[in-house]
Amino acid sequence: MSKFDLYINKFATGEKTSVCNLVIDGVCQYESFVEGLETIMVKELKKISISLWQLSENKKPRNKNFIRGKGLEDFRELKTKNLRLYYLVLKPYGLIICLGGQKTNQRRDIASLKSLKDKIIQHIKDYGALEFIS
Amino acid sequence: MEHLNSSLDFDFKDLLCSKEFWEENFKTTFFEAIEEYLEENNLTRTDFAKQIGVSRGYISQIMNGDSDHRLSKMIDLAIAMKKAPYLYLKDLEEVIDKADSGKSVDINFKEIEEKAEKCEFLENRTRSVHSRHAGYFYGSLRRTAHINTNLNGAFVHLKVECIENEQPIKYFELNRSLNILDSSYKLVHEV
Repeated sequence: MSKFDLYINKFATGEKTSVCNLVIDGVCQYESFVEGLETIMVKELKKISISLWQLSENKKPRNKNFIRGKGLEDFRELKTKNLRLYYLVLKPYGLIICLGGQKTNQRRDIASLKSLKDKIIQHIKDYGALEFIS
Repeated sequence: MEHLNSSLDFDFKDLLCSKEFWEENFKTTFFEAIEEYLEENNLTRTDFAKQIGVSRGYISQIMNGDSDHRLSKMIDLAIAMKKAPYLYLKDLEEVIDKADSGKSVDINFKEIEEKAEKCEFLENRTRSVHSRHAGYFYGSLRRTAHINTNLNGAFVHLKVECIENEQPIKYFELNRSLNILDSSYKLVHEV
């Protein structure tokens, strides 16, 4: 069974809402997303990063969307022209960045979200809580 | 102002120094203001566009933040929403220092204004108390308040405890570290 941890996203410096990266078996999902990008995407990544800061300040980023689909009610996405970043709204943790990818793979990425949420919930049931790591 | 470099490895400080950060922040503030205005006035984007004499597409562009709009048009929009568009320029180094020390760099002007009004209100209450040489002070305060104020040139901390139903404030406790202000102490210690 996978181990899930959290750590605060480096752009989420606001004091209103916690925005964390999900770490699965030691692999940070946000960092994996960034590592998979080409430098040409820097402008779009900046936009996503600004949106993460805005979320931490309880602002409403204009590129935030709900995700339609059964079992996906608690997920949101931050989107740019080519990029998608998916996060889960989960009390009491705040916003958990679960997955990032490109528009071309969004169907596959969205399809994996529900089972990911189920695994996180199961982890919380088994271990009592998600741990914050530094 | 620095522009984006091509590296994907940037941090929050780089973000603060980028044009994109402030532009996006400005656009979001405007977006939120329009959204709030439409909600409060039960208007659609089309209604609002008609009201200010622009196309619906133009309002959508602003809401989506896709375009770089003229300052004069933004001011027109603000006035149409009956808002005064203030501008506040803060030293960028101070903002970066704030971020470095782990504090929020966001400024909520509405919140600050409300706090300032509250402080002013409490200060006026305190002055009112000091102006009375004896007797009771009837206040509409509803809870314990801690007031930092200046009495005869010295900084003091007042604890004001209130009771309900417009009854007199129970007592004022003057927390002094120096042997000063005897007359003031008597005035406020027990009313």
